[in-house]
Amino acid sequence: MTVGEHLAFLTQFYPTWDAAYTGDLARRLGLPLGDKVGTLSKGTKVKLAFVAAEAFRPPVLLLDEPTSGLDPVVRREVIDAILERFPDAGSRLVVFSTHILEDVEGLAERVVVLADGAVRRDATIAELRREQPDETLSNILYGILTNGTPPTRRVAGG
Amino acid sequence: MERRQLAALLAVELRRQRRVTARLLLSTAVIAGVFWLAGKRGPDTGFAIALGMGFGAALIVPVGVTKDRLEGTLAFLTGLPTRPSTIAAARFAAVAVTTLPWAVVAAGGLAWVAAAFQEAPPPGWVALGALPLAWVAFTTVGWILTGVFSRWDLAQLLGVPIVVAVIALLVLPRLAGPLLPADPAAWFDTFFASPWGPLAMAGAALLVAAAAGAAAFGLAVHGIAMYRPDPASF
Repeated sequence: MTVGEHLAFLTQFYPTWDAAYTGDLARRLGLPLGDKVGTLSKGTKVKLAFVAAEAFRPPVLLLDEPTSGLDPVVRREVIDAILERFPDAGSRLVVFSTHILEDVEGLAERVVVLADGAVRRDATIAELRREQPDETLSNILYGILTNGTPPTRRVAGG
Repeated sequence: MERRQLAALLAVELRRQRRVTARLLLSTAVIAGVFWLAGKRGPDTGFAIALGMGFGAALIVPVGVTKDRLEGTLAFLTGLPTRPSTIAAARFAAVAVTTLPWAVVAAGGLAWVAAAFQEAPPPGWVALGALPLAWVAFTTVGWILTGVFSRWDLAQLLGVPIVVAVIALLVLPRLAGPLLPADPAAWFDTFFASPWGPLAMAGAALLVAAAAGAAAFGLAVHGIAMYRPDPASF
C-alpha cells in the first residue's frame, strides 16, 4: 500500500477527515505519496503517523515519543509541524511523552515529570523558569528527575 | 455495521492476499498441466484437482490471520475507530471472495463429469447446482478456520482446542453410526427419487454451514476484541 492509498484508506474511518488539509500537511512534510509504506524510513513513517493522526483535527492529539530515533533535521520538521498546527492558546491540545528533554523546551507549555511510576512534578514551563532563572530547562528537568542531583558539567579548559 | 468501513477493510484484506491467491491459481494450472501430461485427462481428475485446490483456497485468509502478529496487520486495524465485528465481517467476506473462483472451477469440473453419464442431469444444471454447494463448502471451511485462528494462536491450539477437536472427530462418527441406513446405496436411490430429497439435503447442509459460520464469526469477533499487540512490536 502506498502512502497515498494508506491515507485514502483511513478517510473511511474518520467522518471529520479533511482531505485538503491532509494534502497540504503531507506536502508541507514532504511525504512521498507514491512510495510504499513498508519501504519508508523511520522518520518518514513518523511524519505519516502525524499526518494520519492530525488529518481529522482531533481536539486532543496524543503523541508517544514522536521524535524518538529521528535525525535532527526530521526531528525539527516534526516539531515545527506540531507547533504550526497547534499554536499557543489554541483550542486544541497536544499531549506528548518524551525522554528527550530538549523537545520539552521546544514544544511544551506544561510539564508532568514521571519517574518510578509516580508524578515528580506538574508545572508550567513559566513556573519552572521562574524558580531557577539561571538554569536551562533541560537542567531543571534533569534535577527533578534525579531528585536535585545537578548534571555533570564539563569545565572549559579544566 | 459501517458499510464504507467494511468495504475498505475487505479491499485491504483482498489486497493483502492477492499474491497468495495468484500463486494458488497458478499452482492449480500447473498441477492440472502435470496431470494432463501424465495422461490423467479425465473429467474426474479435473474435478478432484479443483476440489482439492478449492479447500486450499479456503486456507488463504486463515493463514493470513496466523501472520497477523508477524506483519502487525491486526495491531493496525484494531487501532482504527471501528468495531471488531466489522473487521471480522471483512475477513469472512474475503474468504467468500477468494474461494469463489475455485467453486466455479469445481462446478465446471462436476458438470464435465456429469456430461460423461447419459442418465445424469444436463451439465448446465449440474454446474448451476454444484456452484453454490461448492462455494458454501469452501467458504464454511475457511470461516471455521478464520474463527479458530482469530480466537487462538497456533501455539495455544496445541492445547485444549485441538484435543476437543480430535475427541469430537473420534466420538461423533461412532455416535452417528447407528443413525446411518444399513444399505446406503438403496437409501440414496430412494432419497434422490423424490425432488424433496436433494432439497432437504441442501437445506440441512446450509443450516449446518450457517450455524458453523455464526459460531466461527463469534469466535473471530471475540479473538479480535481480545487482541493485544506484542509490546516488543512498538
